[in-house]
Amino acid sequence: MKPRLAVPLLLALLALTFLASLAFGELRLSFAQVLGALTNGTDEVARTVVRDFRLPRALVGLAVGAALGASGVVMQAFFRNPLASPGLLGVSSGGALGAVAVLATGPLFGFAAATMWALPLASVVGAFAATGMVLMLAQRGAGTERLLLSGVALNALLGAGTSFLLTTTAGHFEVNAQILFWLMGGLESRSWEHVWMGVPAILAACLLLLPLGRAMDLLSLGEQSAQSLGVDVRRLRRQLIVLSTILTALATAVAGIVGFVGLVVPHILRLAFGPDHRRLLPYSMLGGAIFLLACDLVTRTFPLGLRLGVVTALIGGPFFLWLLRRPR
Amino acid sequence: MANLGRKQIHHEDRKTGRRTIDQSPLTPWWSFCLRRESFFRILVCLLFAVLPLNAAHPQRVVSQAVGTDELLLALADPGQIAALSHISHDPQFSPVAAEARRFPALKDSDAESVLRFRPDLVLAASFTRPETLALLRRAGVRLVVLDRYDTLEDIYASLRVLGRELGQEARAETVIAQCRARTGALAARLSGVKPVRVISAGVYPFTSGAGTTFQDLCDHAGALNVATEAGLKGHAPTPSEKLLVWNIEVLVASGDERIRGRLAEIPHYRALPAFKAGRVVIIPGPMMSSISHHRIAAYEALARALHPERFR
Repeated sequence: MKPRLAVPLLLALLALTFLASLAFGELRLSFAQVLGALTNGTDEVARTVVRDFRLPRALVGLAVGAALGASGVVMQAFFRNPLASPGLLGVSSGGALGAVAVLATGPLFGFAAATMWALPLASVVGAFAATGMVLMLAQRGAGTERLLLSGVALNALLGAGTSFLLTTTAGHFEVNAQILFWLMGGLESRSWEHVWMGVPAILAACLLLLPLGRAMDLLSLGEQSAQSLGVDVRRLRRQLIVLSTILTALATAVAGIVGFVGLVVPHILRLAFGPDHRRLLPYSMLGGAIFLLACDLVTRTFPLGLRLGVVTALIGGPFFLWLLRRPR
Repeated sequence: MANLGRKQIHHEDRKTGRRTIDQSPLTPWWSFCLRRESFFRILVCLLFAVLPLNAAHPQRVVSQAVGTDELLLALADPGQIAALSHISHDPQFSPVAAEARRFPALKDSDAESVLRFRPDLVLAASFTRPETLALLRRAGVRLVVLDRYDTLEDIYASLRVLGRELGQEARAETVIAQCRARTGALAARLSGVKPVRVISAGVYPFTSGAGTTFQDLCDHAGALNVATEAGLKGHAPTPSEKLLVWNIEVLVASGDERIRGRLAEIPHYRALPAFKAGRVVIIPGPMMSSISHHRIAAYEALARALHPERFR
């Protein structure tokens, strides 16, 4: 597909999914009602539904999708491995452990500990602590392979911590369910507080990432080649790790664990528009947002509480398998 | 035993040294009973005759779940209780925690913890892990699994089953009669009230519809469960937008006062006029989730909160 078609196409799809996110939900609202709710309509119910329920949910979904899409591209460029994903270094697991710790200790210290801000904050702290640990563990030698293996080990360790907290809260079914649902990701009950928590910082991190596309292209040739072509590889690697961590941590903090977005979206777009990171980065941001909003629409359509993480995995899993079996 | 009741007289011929035994004529049967050694023989026989009757009823009962703790405590003699569930002493879960502290608690809810008390009867609920039930059955322990607790009639049936098992049928009937008297008095107070439109609210993203203990609570407390009215059955994911048009008058939550803060963080609750007006009734968790006759306390608490004019 011609790259010049990509931006209009992706923008059109994003506008479509975003509008669909505002238009579809539990309550059937007419186009006029949705429009009225966004302007100065007098329908109180429609105003509350669109402005306080659907709009923040769509904005959070858009930001989380963009963050995970971009983070996926960064991880794949960093490791020069098409199977790398945002959670590879234990960022998601660290974020999960932080959030689960807050949820699990809520009953001990009263629910005050598990307030709206405490959970995302703990998630971000957990994510950064995990990245810090990986970098520290991999410092000697600091090779990509060592970093990757450290991430695998840390993922297992943090996962065990999360499982332990999950079992210790088994008696408190409400807490247990909250943890379980959080681990499966979701955009329901997202409010304007979640928008302020996640969207500005994700936007800033995305903007900081965009100029690094050219350097990422050179990095894909190999560290020595990139260095000889004038890239400060060490600085670039640090920038990429920090920005990827910020994006993944914030996405996890406001939407829980949502897998496969960072893996699937860059691959689809790479296949469609080529591997140039200067284009792939913004495309993946847009594509991630579209994919996540579309998956969220599926969760709204199907009853029985189908979770966002389940939908992304249901779509991402088969794609991943196809990718593995595809003749090279 | 053939000589029982006959007096034996030993004769010895001094010349020949031969010993003969003569039997005296028949003596009254009660004279045998008066003899000391015979008295003890009879006592032992009677004890052996009576013991199997007592052994028919369990003397070391272990309850594996909180709900069965409540039923057991209501019916059993203290001497029949070997241990209660592992969370029986915790007031966060058990409405009878204070009473339960008089008895040992299981270390865990698994089969090994139960068998440690060498029970002759184990009470479990249908939500007990199947592997635990299988292990207990394999151990040859008598097991009673209570599986119906959605309504008071289910609980009465469980009380009767347990009463029979424990040999406490009369006590079971007394408890049932007391429960009927309490619910009857409550129904009389609420006679003719307009049901208040409520929903079960909480951080758990599910609400209770038809066929749940919450519906049973509403049926007894003068409340109309809007989730059931909307067609929800069992525990269903809590709708968000629909709550705005269900005309909810009061939110009913389980827990303590801190739950208000948690509900305020959930957009679909804080947007409700009922929540904005502070119309949230909080029922203590163990009372709300009780699967025994103790749930009547929850009926009374909710009814009092929804219809205070009937309790003046």
